[in-house]
Formats: sequence, C-alpha cells, structure tokens
Amino acid sequence: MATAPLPQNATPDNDLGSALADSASRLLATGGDDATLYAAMAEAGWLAVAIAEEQGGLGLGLAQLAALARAIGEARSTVPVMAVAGIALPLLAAAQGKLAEDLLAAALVGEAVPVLAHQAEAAGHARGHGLARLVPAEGGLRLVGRWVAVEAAGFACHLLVPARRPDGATVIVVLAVADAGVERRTYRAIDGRLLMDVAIDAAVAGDQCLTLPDPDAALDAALDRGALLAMAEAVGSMRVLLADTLAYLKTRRQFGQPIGRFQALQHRAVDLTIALEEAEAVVDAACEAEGTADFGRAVAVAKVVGCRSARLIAREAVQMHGGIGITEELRVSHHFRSLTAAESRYGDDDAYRARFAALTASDLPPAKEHRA
Amino acid sequence: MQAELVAFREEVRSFCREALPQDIRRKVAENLALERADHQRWQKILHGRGWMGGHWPLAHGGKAWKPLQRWLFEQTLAEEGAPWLIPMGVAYVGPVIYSFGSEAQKRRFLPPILSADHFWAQGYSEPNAGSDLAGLKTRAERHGDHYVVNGQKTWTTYAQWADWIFCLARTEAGDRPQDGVSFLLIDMTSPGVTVRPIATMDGKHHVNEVFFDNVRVPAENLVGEEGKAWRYAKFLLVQERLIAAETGRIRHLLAGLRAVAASVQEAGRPLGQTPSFAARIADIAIDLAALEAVCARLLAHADGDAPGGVEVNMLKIRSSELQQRVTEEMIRALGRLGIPFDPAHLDPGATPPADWPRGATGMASEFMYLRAATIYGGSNEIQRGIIAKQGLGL
Repeated sequence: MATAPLPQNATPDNDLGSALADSASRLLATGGDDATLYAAMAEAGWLAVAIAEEQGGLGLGLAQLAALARAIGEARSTVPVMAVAGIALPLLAAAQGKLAEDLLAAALVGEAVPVLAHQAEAAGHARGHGLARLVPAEGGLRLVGRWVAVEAAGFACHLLVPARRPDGATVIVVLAVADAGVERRTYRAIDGRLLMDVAIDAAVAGDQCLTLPDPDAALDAALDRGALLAMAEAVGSMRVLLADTLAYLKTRRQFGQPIGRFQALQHRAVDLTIALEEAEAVVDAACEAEGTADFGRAVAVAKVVGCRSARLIAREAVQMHGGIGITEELRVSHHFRSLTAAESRYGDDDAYRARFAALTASDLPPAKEHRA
Repeated sequence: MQAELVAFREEVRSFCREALPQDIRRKVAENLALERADHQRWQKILHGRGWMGGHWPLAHGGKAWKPLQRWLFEQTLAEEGAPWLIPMGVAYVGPVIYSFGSEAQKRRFLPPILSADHFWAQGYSEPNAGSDLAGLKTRAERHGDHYVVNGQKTWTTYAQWADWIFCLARTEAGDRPQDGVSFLLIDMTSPGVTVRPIATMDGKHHVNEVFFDNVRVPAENLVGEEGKAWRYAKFLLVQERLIAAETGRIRHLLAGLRAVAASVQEAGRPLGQTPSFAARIADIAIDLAALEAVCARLLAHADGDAPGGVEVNMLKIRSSELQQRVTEEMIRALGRLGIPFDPAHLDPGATPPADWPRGATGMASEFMYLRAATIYGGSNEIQRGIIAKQGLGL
C-alpha cells in the first residue's frame, strides 16, 4: 500500500543545520543496522549538535537536535543516538574536570558511548526517589542498587549513575559497563528499542564522580531533555500517522464513496490535525525555553500535551484504518507501538502533570483565611 | 437477582475452580498463546457438564437458558479465568442452523459443535467489504447439485483451526446489494480452499485470509433459501453483539490491572496507591458497574431469544471501549519498565525475567490486540450509525 508523502520540514536557518537535515534524510533512508547508523551519525556530527563550540560541539542547541529526533521518529529508527547526544553528553558538558572532559571528547567522536541510568528500581517515574546510596565500605565507597529501562543497551560502554553520598548529597557516578560488579540484562521494548536493567554492586573511588555545581538541577535538566526529545521523536511518528490516515480516508471506499466523505470521520480527522499542530508547537516552545527558568514547565507542557496528541493520533490512525491498521503489513501499527512507548519514556504524562503543578505551585493565590 | 440464578452462578464458579486445567488457567491468566487443543479440551469439559450451548433449545441438546442466565454463565467463566468460548460454532452458526437449517443439517452439524469436535470459522468480511458487508464479491455459481465458489474472505478468526466455515456468497445479482446473497457451509478440507495467516502487531495468530478457488460445495450445504442470507446474517449479528458485552472478560482484565498496579512500584510504593492511578482504576470499575447494570436490565426483560434492539449495539460500543481502557492502564503501569515486548515470551514454555510483573508480555499483546475490539464485529462507527438510524430515526 502506498505511503503518504509528508509535509516538508521547515528549512533550517543555517548551513550547518541544513547539512544536518540532509544527513538525516540520507542516513535514515539507507537503513542498515543500528551500529552502522550510529557510527555514521557520529561522523555526520549528530552527537555534537547540542554541545557548545568551545567544548568541541557544534553549538546548535536543542531545537536543532529536536529536528533530528523528529526525523528519527518519522523513520522509526531505534538508534539510541538521542540518549547520548541529548541526555548523557550535555550532562557531561555541564560537569568540570578531566573525567567529564575525556569522556565527552571520546563520545563526540563515537569512541565512547555514555548513557544515563535514569530510573532507579522502585522509583517509577518519580524523580529523585529510590536513588541508590553510596555506602562506606573498606577502602572507600560502594554503590549498590538496580536501575531499570536504561536506554542504548548494546551500545553503552559507560553508565552515568545518580546516587546519594552518605551525607545526602546527589552525585553522578561514572562506571564502565565492563567494570566488575556491573551486571546487565538486555530486553526488547514494544517499540523495538533495546533496553537494559542494570544491577550494580561496585567499589567507587572519589574521582569517579562528576563535578557538578548543582547535581540535582543537572539531573533534572537531563531528564527534561530526555522527555522533550522523546516527544520530538513522537512528533515524527504522529506526522507519519496523520499523513497515512488522511491518504487512507481519501482512497478507501465503502458504501460507494471514500470513507473520508463521512462527516463523523472528517471531524475526527480535523481533531487529529489540531492535536499534531499542538504537539509540534509545545515541543518547539520547550526547545526555545532551554536554558531559561521556564524550561522545566515548558517540558512538562510538551510532555502532557504531546502524550495526549500521541494517544489520540495513534489510536485513531489504527481505528480509521480498520483491520489493516493492526497488521504488521502497514507502518501504522509500527508507529502505534512507537507512540505507545514514547508516552512513558523519561516519565509519563501523570508524572509531568504533577511536575507542572509543583513548578507552578507559587502561582496559586494565597489561601483565604478560614473564618469561623 | 433471583435466588436460582445466584445459585447457578456459584455452581459455575466452583465448577471452574475444580475443572479448569491448571495449564490452561495459567495461559489465560498470563495472556499467553492458546492452541486449538486447549480450547477443545476445555469445551469438552463443559460439554461433559452439559453446559456447551446452554442457551440452545432442549430439542437440540441445549438447556434453554434465557439470555440473563447465559450472560451470567459466560461472565462467570471469563471472570474465573477460563478461555474465551470461541463463538463461531456454538454462538453463531449453531443458532442459524437450528433456526433456519434443514433437518439433515441439524443432525449433521449441531452435535459436533456441542462436543467441540468441529471448529468453525466465519466467512464474512472481504478486502473491499468490511464495514460495508453488503459489498461482498465472493460468488457461488450453481452447477447441478453443486455450487462452485470463488473469492476471498479476510479477517477470518481462527480459520487455521477450522474444520468448517460458514460463508456469505453472492448467488445472483439483486436490486439491492443485500439481495442475492446465500449462506453456505463449506468444508475447509475442500480442494481449492487456502488459508493464509495475517500477522498482527500483538504477536499472536488470530486472523487469516481465506481464498476460494473453484471450490465445489454440495447444494445440500446451503442454509435456508438461496439469496436470503441477509436475513440469517442479521440474526447472527445480533448474537454476535450480545456476546460482545464481554463483561466477564473486562472483570478478568481489571483483576489483571489491579495485580500489575500492585506489583509495579512508583516512588517506592505500589503504583495502585498513587492517587491519579487509583482514580483511573476506580473510573474503569465504575464504568464496568454501569455496563453490567445496563446488561442485567436489558437481559432481565428479554424473555425468549436475545434482545434485538439497538441496545445491543450500545453494549458493543461501551464494552469494546472499556476493554481498551483497562489494557491502556496496564501499559501505563508497564511503562515503568519501558514496556517489554518480545513475542517469543507469549510461548507458554518461555521464561521471562521473574522480577517482571506476571504476564507482562501478555498484557502488552492484549493491549495491541484489543485495538481491534472497536473494529471487529461491526466497527463502532457502524454501531453508532445503526443506533442513529434505527434507534433514533435520524
């Protein structure tokens, strides 16, 4: 069955940007396995997009990275490049000292693949909960704990692991996955991505912790970027699903006419179009808010609205295609699965609704005094 | 509810607890792949108890249950974790045959349905006749004492297990598309019948394409009058939608949701204890209570056969949407693990990690499969159209 052409992306406003956009369509069209693709993306500069020029990056910012994420979503690629380029590397770039500098430099050329262990077991989507404790042990500190749904399984060679020091402060420990005491279990997620659970019981030296001025804020920003880029990828899937669904409404005939002539379906198609428009807008707005005090709130909006749009578009795309929509034959079901996974990556909309409420609590008017 | 119905329900419940084989119970509980042999074994157990086709007339081996009793029976079965009673034989073609078939057809086809020796498939939908069923193109031409059937059916559930298929086929051109369609019973082992599986995103094998290439069907396998199949098909669709209330299945799914919400952690405590999640589970349970209330009221007033008004279309809409909502919340819970899904884990012999919630892969599979619940048996768009036109006169 023919797949519908997508609307053209807006032309990036700089040469580097347009070169990257070219590389996105070229690389993602070639297919190839994830490792080959990752290497080619590293070569094309994808990992450097959101890193400042003075740190060896391209300094193009989150919006440019989100454009690439959208292309990944459209192609439904499982290459874990965003987990590195958008989450781990900016976290390293925010840190000082040789540990972070060396790892960042190696990662930018594709020689090292660091990834954030973003979710401690039993934490669920609640940030900061269940962080493993660094416990005093013979000759130093020991990190003991389990992390779930870690991205870039099969790629990651280093783990950035948030933990608490005995004094209660948050630290981010850098471990090599090959280190003694690091055990991984790899599994496939509903969207085809390879994830891993990681169990750690390892000695940690003082020089294995990142030097960050505010580790909690850095971690929050990393998780926010993860959630935002997951929604940028989701926008790519939503665009494909809407385009395919509109094309199907125009070609599929029942009762002697294209089903798109039925007003009930027309109105729903309009709702999908509005949903996509909103999702694109909130993702763009959050990218623009990077580095400002509004970033956290803007990401919360992007995640909540993005999830709502993703759910509506994914489910309606399948429904309007009918039986053929649940088959493996059409990419509709593939993007349905991608959007299903995207909803919960780096926290679901429940988590970001709660985060938005917490971040805007000071906007509430003071409670009136209760008079007897 | 009358005391004897309450007693009956408890009898069914305790029978399930004793008689449902453990291996089958486990497959259902974890939404793993069932085989024809699993369904057959369970149906034979029910047949031994006299409960296959309980809603059939006494003369044909049934117990003449009224609709309310039948609903309670099927609801309790599902709630107790028994396999879905595949409806194509006992719920669909059986009643068509005893209502419209010849004496010879009744003698030949009804007993093996009750004994689960024959599995049936339903040959309705075609590539260009889905929601618009009357657009079907499969042709049956009369040649002496045979029909010769050519065409293609699709979305044919469990055709891979079927011994027989009941088909709608065009025997003559009519004034309206509904005219000139006949109801034929076709042996799946006939030369010229080909079954091709359709791969669906849930990873299990449910549906197929079925091709008919010059298939010879004895004229005695025509049900009722030639060209009058639309009447039988409409009768059957009412049966299909009555089953579609599926309240037992929703109860079973809801129990699974509560289990996964108790097992998955959020901020160090069970997810089911977080207010937003608890509220959504409560909403689902409340809407299930409403659906059951509608069912019970509707069925209590149905003395004889199944009710035929647009109320059954309402049940289908509400039930299918509710089934989806339960599995959507399961997926939300499993999102904390990134939603593991490897179809190989649907094999009963597979050993997924012991620390995953029980049946995690099956839940993801069920979530994807149930996207079809608002599509099959007449999509919810079609159901709403029927209610608007026939029920509201719009």
